Amino acid sequence: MIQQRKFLGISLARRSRRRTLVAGFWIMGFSFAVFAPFLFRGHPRQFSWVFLPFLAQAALLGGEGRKGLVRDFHGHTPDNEPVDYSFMTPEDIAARKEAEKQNRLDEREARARDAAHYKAFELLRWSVPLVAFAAFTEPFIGFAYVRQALLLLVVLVIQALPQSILLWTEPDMEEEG
Amino acid sequence: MKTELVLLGNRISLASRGRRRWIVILVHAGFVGYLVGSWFIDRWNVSGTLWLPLPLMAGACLLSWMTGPLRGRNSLWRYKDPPTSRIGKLLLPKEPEAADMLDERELRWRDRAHYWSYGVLSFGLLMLWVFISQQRQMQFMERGFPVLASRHPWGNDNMLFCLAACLLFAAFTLPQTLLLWFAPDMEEPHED
Repeated sequence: MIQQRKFLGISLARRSRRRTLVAGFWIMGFSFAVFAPFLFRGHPRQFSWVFLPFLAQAALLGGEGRKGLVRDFHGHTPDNEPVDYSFMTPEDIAARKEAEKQNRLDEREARARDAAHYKAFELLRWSVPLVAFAAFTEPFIGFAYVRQALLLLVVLVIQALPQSILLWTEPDMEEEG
Repeated sequence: MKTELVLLGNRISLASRGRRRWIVILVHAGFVGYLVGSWFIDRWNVSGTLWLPLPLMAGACLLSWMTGPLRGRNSLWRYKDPPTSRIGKLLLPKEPEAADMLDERELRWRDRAHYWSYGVLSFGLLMLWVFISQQRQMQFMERGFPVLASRHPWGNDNMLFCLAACLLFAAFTLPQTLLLWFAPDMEEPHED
């Protein structure tokens, strides 16, 4: 399930290194979520400054795209329905098949992906009452920053939790070369 | 997954997928009915705050019960060896019984249902936050965001409440719903 075995030249074949990376990622993300609302208040480009680092971090971990440490979650799995190639030119079909081949998840990878989402869902489920509480309460100036930090934490959980679980739990791999 | 429901002394077989789907539809329709009915009663004033957990919990408990060990506490975190550490014993206080243990096929169903649910719930949460940010006008979102909620004729608060209530219900029922909806027909329970 892990497609990149190196990050900034450091091998990620060993699980302990991957765990260090994940721990660092979450410490950074958590600190950013807590302090960003204070740091960027009144800034004219607050929205970009707050969300772009999160998008960059999500792109680093992968899962939602073909790049990143973890493989694309939405790849074709063995139990998917056969793809319908109606109304497509032969060139398009060939290109589509090539993309599917590169993005195919085997049985073990699909199961690892689902199991990671199962664990992640348990945490996401309990973040919904928090968000609903924020939705139902009246805002006042002191609580506004807590709400912003909560938003950033929820975005962080949504974007990074299954990937983090996979990086954390996947066993040691063979070193390259 | 349970194959029989005993309601007021009557035994209702849940082995057929069609019947399970009807119950799932009834539970969801009941929640929507509660939201619509309470809107006309008091505009979600008391019914939307104090009484909302009741239909929510009732639906979640019924669907969880129907899915059985697929959502049972003992099977939530499956482990190969009993926990030895204090934290492990606190989180997993007792050995799961054999009936609660899931086989490979059931584990795969359970995990796949949660994979789908995760995507739906994530999208819903992000939508909810868009509405919150619009309504509450959080400072860092004032620029670059389209105005959605404030132009809605139904009003900000109601839209926000409805979305939050539906998300709460989905958070506690969606995996069970998917499991009950897609699980194939089972064998009828044997008479004692």
